[in-house]
Amino acid sequence: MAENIMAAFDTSGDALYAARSLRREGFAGDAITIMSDEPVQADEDLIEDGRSRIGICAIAGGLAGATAALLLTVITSKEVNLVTGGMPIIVPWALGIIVFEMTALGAIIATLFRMIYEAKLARPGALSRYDPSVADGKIIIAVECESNSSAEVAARVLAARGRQIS
Amino acid sequence: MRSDKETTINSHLLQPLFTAKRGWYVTVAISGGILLAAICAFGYQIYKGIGVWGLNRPVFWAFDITNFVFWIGISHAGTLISAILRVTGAEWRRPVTRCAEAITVFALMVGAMFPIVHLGRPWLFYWLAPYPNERGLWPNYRSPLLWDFFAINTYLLGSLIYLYLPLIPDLALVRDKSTGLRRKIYSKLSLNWRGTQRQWSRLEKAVQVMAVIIIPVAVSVHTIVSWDFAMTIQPMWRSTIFGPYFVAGAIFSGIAALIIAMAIIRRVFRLEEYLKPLHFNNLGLLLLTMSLLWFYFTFAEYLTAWYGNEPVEKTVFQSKVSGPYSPLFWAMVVCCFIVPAPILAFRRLRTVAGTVVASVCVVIGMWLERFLIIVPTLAQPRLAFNWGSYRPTFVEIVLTAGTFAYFVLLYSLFTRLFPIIAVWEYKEGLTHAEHGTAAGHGRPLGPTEAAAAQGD
Repeated sequence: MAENIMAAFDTSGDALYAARSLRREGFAGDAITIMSDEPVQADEDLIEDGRSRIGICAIAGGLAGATAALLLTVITSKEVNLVTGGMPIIVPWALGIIVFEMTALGAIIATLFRMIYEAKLARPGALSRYDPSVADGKIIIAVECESNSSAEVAARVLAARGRQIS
Repeated sequence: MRSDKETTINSHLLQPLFTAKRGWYVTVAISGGILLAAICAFGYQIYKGIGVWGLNRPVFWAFDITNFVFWIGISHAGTLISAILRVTGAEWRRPVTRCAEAITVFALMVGAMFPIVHLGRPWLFYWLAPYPNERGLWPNYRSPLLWDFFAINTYLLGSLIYLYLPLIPDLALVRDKSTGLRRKIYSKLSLNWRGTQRQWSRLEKAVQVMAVIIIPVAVSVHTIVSWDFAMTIQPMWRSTIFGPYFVAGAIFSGIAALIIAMAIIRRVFRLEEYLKPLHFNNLGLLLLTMSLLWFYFTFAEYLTAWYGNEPVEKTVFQSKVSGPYSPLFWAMVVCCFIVPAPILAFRRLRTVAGTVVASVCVVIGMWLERFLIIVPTLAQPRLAFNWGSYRPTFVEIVLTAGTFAYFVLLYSLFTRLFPIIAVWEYKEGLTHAEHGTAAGHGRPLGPTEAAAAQGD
């Protein structure tokens, strides 16, 4: 039966030591969660948090924004048949500015939503695996244990330098 | 090691959210009172019509557009400066960034009101937006005013998100320190942030990406504002350097506004430990650079107008330099260059008080600059029979004072609702200083950077 073990640590050094010990005991990187009120400089192989695609999504969002701008300006200008005094309706110089702004807008919005998705934010019930002592400068380690025996191992490792919360 | 000092930073920086100082109430009362007067003036304007302003043929733009350009310029304080400092990994930025980013959002909110305020029938402002309608109206995409619409809205939304993203961990901090309804609200605002490694890495990545995107947007916004003028054939408006001239002026006035805001926050909330003389010194150096750049652009702009000797241009030039607008012109030069440059050039004068004095001068000078770009040109168009003059009315003066009050009020409310110094970024800076590495760069900090990270 899966069980969550959480412990609080006073220093990032203690927390990282506990996380390394857990990895040595055979816990997978994605089963260990470190929570802190500032970024903790952990080794890349210690915690598996996957590869970010925020940059790629920003580019995709930018392209979507540019396409939307082109459609908005070109199609509607032709559709409405703007009075331009003999000048061309579609003017790349002028439309280019709107395309530029909407490209940026698309990239910005895509970055925000991708970040929320990748960071698993705004998910209901997320705070059930959290302890507010993070706000007091504590570092929390939460371990997902698949069995009672692994929960015992995790509790023993965490208790070496930390204080078990649950 | 997380020292005692580091763990007390949370409560110290969150204190303004839980206990207000008397200075805060005084600020809110004064700014709220002035804003109320401005709202009454605006109501009077709506009731009587836009004729209560001092606008008349040929001056159809004056205080309203001056305020618009001025506040859009001030908005360059935050996001642009913050983004540049982030991208370049300047460690001393940490206590400064949020003060700056908040300025951007509120200055944009104030500035963006003016195209609406001066519509005459402001309740029909939504006709500016491109949306399907039965009136056969459709915005002309070739108009610089419509470019403004897209640029300002993009910048406002981008700046809001750029302010919000690094705020999320601090909102979670407030959530954990709050109870009841306040806890529920901050819980929603913090998107159930827990501070996991994954969340931190994604947040830092997103902020970096946003910083890269927002810099060209910020530059484009004021360039496009300058094109409102430069795309016409009016004397002393039609200039190829108006784009960079406006951007330089915007950053110039923005840094000045940031220094003033920081000094007030430092004083009211007793944040001397965080906003240190080093930050004012560094921003003072940036302000000095921009002062020199502003002088260079102004000199280049006026020299070419004078040397070209074209009669219509020369008329506007003379009216500014030795004519009816000369007191304002020379006041502008004094405020933007003659007073601030010497103060900021000497390290002994580049103190907190010194930089604030220079900044106040710059803000006044830059408002005058915006006014002098707009009104003298309109007052003396190409045909002499159409020349006129402009004198502001009481309504316009109250509305202008109201913009400052509105900005101060918004900023004051922000400081009571959100940590004005990024708590996590500040603490991260301390950690990096301890370990001797620069954030996101992995390179060792130099001795100056290490000191800057701690604000020493």
